This record gives sequence, C-alpha cells and structure tokens, in this order.
Amino acid sequence: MTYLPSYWYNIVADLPVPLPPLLDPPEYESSRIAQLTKILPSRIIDEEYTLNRLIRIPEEVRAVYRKIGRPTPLIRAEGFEKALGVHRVVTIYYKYEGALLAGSHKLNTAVPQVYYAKTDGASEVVTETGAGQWGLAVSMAAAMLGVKAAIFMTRSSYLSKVSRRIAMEALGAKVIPSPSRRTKTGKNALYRNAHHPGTLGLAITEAVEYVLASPYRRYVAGSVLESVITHQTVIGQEVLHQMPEEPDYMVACVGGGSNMAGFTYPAIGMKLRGEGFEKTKFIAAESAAAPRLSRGEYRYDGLDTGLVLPLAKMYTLGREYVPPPIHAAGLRYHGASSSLSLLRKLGYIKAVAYEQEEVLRAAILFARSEGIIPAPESAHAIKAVIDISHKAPKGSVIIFNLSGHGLLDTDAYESICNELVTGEISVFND
Amino acid sequence: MTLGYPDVSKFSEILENLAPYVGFYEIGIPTRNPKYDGPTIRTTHYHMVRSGITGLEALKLLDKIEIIKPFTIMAYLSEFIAQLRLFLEEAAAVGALCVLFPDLAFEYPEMIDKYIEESERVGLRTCFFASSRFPHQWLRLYAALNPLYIYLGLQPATGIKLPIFVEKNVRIARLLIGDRYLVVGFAIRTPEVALSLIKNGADAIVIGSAIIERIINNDVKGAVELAHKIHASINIKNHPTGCR
Ligand SMILES: Cc1ncc(COP(=O)(O)O)c(C=O)c1O
Repeated sequence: MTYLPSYWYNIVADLPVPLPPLLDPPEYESSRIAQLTKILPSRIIDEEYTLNRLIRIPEEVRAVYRKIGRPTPLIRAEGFEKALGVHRVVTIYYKYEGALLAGSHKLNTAVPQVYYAKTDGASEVVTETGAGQWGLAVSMAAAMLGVKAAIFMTRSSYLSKVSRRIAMEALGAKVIPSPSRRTKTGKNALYRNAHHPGTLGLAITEAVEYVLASPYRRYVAGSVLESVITHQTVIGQEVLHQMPEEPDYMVACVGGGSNMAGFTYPAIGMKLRGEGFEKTKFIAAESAAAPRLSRGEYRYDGLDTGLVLPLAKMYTLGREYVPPPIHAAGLRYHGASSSLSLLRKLGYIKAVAYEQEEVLRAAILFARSEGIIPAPESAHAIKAVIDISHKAPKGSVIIFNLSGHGLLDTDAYESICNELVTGEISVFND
Repeated sequence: MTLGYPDVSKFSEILENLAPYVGFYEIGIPTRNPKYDGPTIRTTHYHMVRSGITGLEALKLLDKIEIIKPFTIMAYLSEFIAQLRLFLEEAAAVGALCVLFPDLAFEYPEMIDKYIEESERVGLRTCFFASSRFPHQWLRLYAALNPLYIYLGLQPATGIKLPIFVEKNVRIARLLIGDRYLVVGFAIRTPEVALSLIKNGADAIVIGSAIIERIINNDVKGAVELAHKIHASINIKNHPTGCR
C-alpha cells in the first residue's frame, strides 16, 4: 500500500530554542487562555501543549485522509523547466496538494479538527475564510463527518469568490460575509467603515464570538496554531518518502504559515537533529500586501484583531493591519505562526514578498506549461521558484509546495488573461 | 505565594500555618506584569504593586520575615534584566536557595550562561523552568546543568486548567531529565491530581492558585486544610534540600 504517515510531527520538540508561550493580553481581566476550553476542540488544546515529538493520527482521521486523496503526488515539473529555459540545468518538483478533494492542503487539518469537535459533542463548527479554500475544506469535512458549518468569509472575497462561496453552500455550510452584523466586533467594524473589505484577523474574532454564544459550537483554526501546523506535516513526511534526492531549495507560500510549515518541518526537523538537509535552503513566499515575515516586527501580538484569542510571539504587521484586497486572499493575515516566525528569526527560513501582478504572470506560465491552474496563494511559491531557478547553480534541485489549485479562482485570472489575449502583456517578460 | 500578600504580617502568619505541610516555598516577587500567571495570582500581584511592594525593594522585605522552611524566589527576568547581579545578590542575602526566572529560556535563551555564572558567584543553586511545549534538547541541557530542580509548568498559565494530558507530559519530561529533581505545577488543586502526577514521575508538587484563592477569600483555614490533604496524599521522597 502507498505510504501514508501514521504520526504528525511536532517540531516544537526539536526547536533550537524554546517556543515563547501564548500569553493573556495584560489589558483584560478575564483570561483569554482559560476561555480556549469554550472555543477549541479539547484535543486541539492537548496537541497544542504536548511534549511529544510525534502525535499519533487517529485511525478514523487516517481513513478520511485516504478518502480525500492522500498521499498526494510529487511531480517533476519538466514542462515548467522547459518554459523557464532551465531544463537539464535545474530540476523542479512540486508536491501537489491541489489533488485533495477540496482543492488545497487545508483538508489535512479540517478533517482532524472537525472530528475532534464532533468527539467533544459539538453540532456545529465555525471558522473564518479568505479566498474560501479553508472554508471549503471545513464545509467538506463537516459534510463528511455529519456536523453543521458556519463560515465567516472576508467581505472582499465573499463578493469576488462566488464559486467557492456557492460550493460551501452546496455542501450545507452557512456563509456569512465579514464584517457582519452578527457580532459586536463586526458591527463596530462596519460602523467605522461601511465598506470594510474584511480581514482574516477580524473574521477570526467574529467566528470566535459566534462560537462563544453557544456551547454546541467549536472554532476550527485554519492555520497559525502549532497543533494545526502539525496536521499539515503529512505533506512534508510524504515528500521525504517521495523525493528522489535531497533538494537545494524547498519553497512554499505563507499566509498563517501552515502549508510552508507542514511542507518543510519534517525536513527542517532532520536538519535540526543533524540527520540531513544541511545544504537545503527554505524559502517562504508571501504577498507584498501582507509581508509580515519580510517586513513585520518580531513581537507579541494578537492572533486575531479583537483579542478574543491569546497573544503569540510572531512576526506581525500589527493585528489592526488591513491588507489591500488581493486575489490571494488566503495570504491576507497580519502574522505568521510562532514556530515559523522563530525559525525565520533564527535564520533557518528566508522570506521573499511579491506583488500580485508578477505572481499571476508566474501562475499563467505554470498553467500553460504544466496544465494545472494554481491557486493565487500557491502562485507566490511559483514566482519564487522562477527567481531561484534563474540564479541557482547548475544541478540544483528545487521542490515547492503547490498548496492548491485555482479552478475556482477564475476571477483572479480574468484580467490577466484579457491582457494576454490583447497582447498588452507577455507571460515571458520576467 | 506572592510576597507580602495580603499584607506583610498576614503573609508571615500564613507561611507559618502552612509550614507543617510544605517542603519549600516558592515566593513570587510582585510585578505589574505577571505574564505567565492566570487571573488568581495576577490579582495578588496587582494588589501588592498597589501597596508599593515590588521589585528589588520587595525582595529586601524577606530579611524582616522569618521563614522556617527553605524557599526559592520566582521573578520575571524581564523586570530585572538590568540588575540581574544585584537581584541574585539580594536573593542570596535573604536566604533563598535559588531564583526561578520562568521567562529565561523563552525570552532570553542567550542569557542562560550568565544566569548560571551569576547564581554561582553568590552561592545560589540554579533552577530552570520548562513548559509543556519545550524542546527535548533543552530539557536534556537543563539536566546536564545539575540544577536544584527543573520546574515543569503543566498548563499555559498558573491556575488555568485546560484539557491537557499532563501526566503524559510529566512522563516524557522524566525520560529526558533522568533522575534530576522534577517539580511540577500550574492548576493542581486536588490531592488526587497531585498523587497521580507523583506516580507519573514528579518529585514535588507546587500549589499556587488553589491556596491563594482561599487566602483571597480570607479562608486561611481552608488553605491550610488543602495543603494538609495534598501533603498527606503524596509521599515526598528525596527532597532537594533534604527536608520534608
Ligand atoms: C491554496 C492556499 N495556499 C496557501 C494558503 C496560505 O495559508 P497558510 O500559510 O496558513 O498555509 C492558503 C490560505 O488560505 C491557501 O488557500
């Protein structure tokens, strides 16, 4: 049978220095940390605070992993190499998480979290979403496991990502544009700006407020938390089995950090333990609209805008930061997970940030040479791979994480395709 | 116990009442920002800071209080980073065994050597704090440094009980630190939990919020009863200072 990991990998056990703890915001009397029991599935809390290096994947979750398409393939990007003119100079592979049923890596954690919520007796799971990849994954996992789902979708995406919103609704989820009038935080934001585009930080606050209104709801987190990140390490563990050779570069995009972490941590863990990957460079590609790893500050900040969750030490642009609306809405988050931030601080990870247009052009080049339309988020990694491939020494091997497909992101590709048709721009002028 | 809470004379009285059931006290230096503490202990810090008892001056108070059991000091290094040497000198002068800086490894990992050197210079032992999400290498490092004890914080903050499999974490810590003295704490409130932690490899139990809650409610008798029950439930062997 094909390899499917039995454990999730918890890099916290291998970090070179201890991970700064989550803290209560000093300005509040009631404890945000104590409140987590009413918000998160209990096993998520347990996985967040464990000394285990390996966390056993429940058999029920592994069974669903098989059903949704795990393991996902590692594919040699020969067509792309040729399009870039680096064929036989540089070898490029991609791990294709878009092959999962919901179209992105997000199902890897949606499944266990919804399963844990259900085990706690919850009848509804609640979350936020940007472009809808995470919301769709949660809606799908909820439908598979038989619980309801409510999704707070950032307003800019609610209006532009219509297909994904409808897909979530078709799966039975309730999709609410954020900021909404359902929560105090939403109402305040709308009061300040009636056309507020929404942010992930704000949608998280709304989702958590909504959860706190009923004991039968649980919040499921799309990224950032260490437990969530461990779930994504199925990606990187499979890569270790699939890769024909140790890469010189591993590249992934970063929103909250879960796909980058899930893809690289098993390898970085080996590096930290002195078991390999000494020469490998780990590159995080982010959006210039939310460049927290490249230009943010490393400090304690709220995981969400309204501080209903604790503070985490991370690279942040400030929890009030409103990134401009972009197609890669999944990258519009002000911070990045604590462990990824720490590894960046210590120099194990390098970060690069890209503008939307260069990213979409990279995506088109990839689509036309590999036959896969990438999610705009994942396209940031593709852009980074293009830059690396032109500079890398002959014989270099690059593996990147294609975290999702963009079949439901046609709005992102509309204008660039029009410009290509009219000859206003060329894909190849990088 | 937060130093001086609720006031200096009651504080000494409470320590005295608890003494028969205590192996050693961990005395916290009141601060404006008790960052790893839950709501109960925070209240006592804020109260003491309002009474003007905080910082190095607070530490000096211990000179005037007779403490009949061994004690260690807990303080946040972020408060004393500029006065580390002075702080450790004072701690030694008032008779503390060691100073626990819970934020040392998280916020100032590069200062471990300095902490050890300065502690040794004034004749203090060392002690180290770890959390339930902690690198294995660091627990091994702690063990190699031969501290008076290693303190494992079982929960994310004092007094807050989340659904965490703490016994398992104690077992893992034990495997990593060998026979070093392992103290565990945070949100332990019953004799049953205390015993189960000892059975899973802890050498000693720290009770904070559960005792302080009773003191806040003026129920010193209740605090002493709880200490008595917990003490009776566990059989503390090989205490680091040799006393029980
Ligand atoms: C396809 C895709 N890739 C990447 C991300 C970035 O998120 P993270 O960094 O948390 O993996 C998202 C977020 O929604 C996404 O949808």
